[in-house]
Amino acid sequence: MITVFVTLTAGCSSTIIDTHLAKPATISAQDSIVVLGRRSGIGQEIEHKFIRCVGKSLAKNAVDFQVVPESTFVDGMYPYFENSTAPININDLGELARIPAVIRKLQEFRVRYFIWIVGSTETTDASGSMSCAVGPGGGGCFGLATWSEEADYEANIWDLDNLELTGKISTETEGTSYLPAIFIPIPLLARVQSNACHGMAKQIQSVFR
Amino acid sequence: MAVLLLTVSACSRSLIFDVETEIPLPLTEQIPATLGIYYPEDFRTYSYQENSDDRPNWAIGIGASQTALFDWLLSHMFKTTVQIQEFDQPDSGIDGIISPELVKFQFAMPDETKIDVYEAWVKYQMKLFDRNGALLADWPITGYGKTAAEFHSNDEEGLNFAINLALRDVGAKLVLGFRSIQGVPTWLAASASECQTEIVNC
Repeated sequence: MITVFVTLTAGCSSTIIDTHLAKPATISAQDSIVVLGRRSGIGQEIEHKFIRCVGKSLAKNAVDFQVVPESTFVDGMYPYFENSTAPININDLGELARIPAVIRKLQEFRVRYFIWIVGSTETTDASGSMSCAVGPGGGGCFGLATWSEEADYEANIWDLDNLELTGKISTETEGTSYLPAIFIPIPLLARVQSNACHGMAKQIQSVFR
Repeated sequence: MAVLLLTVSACSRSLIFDVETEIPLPLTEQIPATLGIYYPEDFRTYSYQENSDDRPNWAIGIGASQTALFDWLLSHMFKTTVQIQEFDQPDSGIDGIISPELVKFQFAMPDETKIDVYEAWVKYQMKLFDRNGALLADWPITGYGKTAAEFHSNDEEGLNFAINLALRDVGAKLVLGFRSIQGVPTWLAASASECQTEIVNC
């Protein structure tokens, strides 16, 4: 098992990435991976835009494999990867992989690895105040608002060929954004979710090298 | 200097729209049988109506979407489907009749949920009859959809998305669960047997 800690600091946010690899990942240029959001639980659900961001970031930098977009895959595999019917664990995936129609479609997509992501970005604290006014001579805003966000995500990598867990990657990103205003509001954004996305995509990419 | 303070206040407003649903092509092995589909009165035109303080003159039309859902899925689950207009007239050209009935439709708006989401629940009572109208199977299917408010620009878009997810959920459970409903395997076996002996067209 390999554990890698990477800490990135960008502006007012920091990211900690933790990677556990159970098996080495091998993939050929014809193979695909698919990044999927796990939405079967109650409470806060993972953002579609986060999944799209990880998928696009991977696709942009992937030279060793293809990336199937989440919506294309879920629609193509209907009804087997809906929130209430998607495989919860490797054994469930093994059961699915015995169904002829499913096998044919997976072969069509050339999927070798599934990357299931859970988590969310939440605002943890907000303070300050700002007031805006408009008059005959113009308008403006005065004040200072700040808010903090935390993004926690975990990716599980499943190997379809060997029906086993390849590894897990988790990211914890936190940051504070500021919005000072003297006539004009000037946002200084921490880009917490974006940093979490790119950090996770970079680490997933490294697993397949 | 006169100063005008801009304030934004939340207020109740009417919400009227027809649900737009897009269901993908299902991955399923087609059943070699001819199925009649019978929709109860008002099923095709059903619209949820509410006129309360919180929901003044709300009307959410789901009749067309739910009809399209079952038409689409059943036509891919069975080799042939036909619409049945008069339920009480036996039809020797079909193997059976399926009839969905909407028994519950509920939804919640972001200001009504603690986690700021749009939610939708639907429940159908499904009935399978033989070609003479005798009940063979009777089972419920529920569907649930949820989507965070921050992903949508207005109530219509958010609620439509949640209802769409709920209808997709119903469809998934219909396709995956149909063959294991009590009474269905026996009917399928009889239909297959008649198909082989050419009692009915398959």
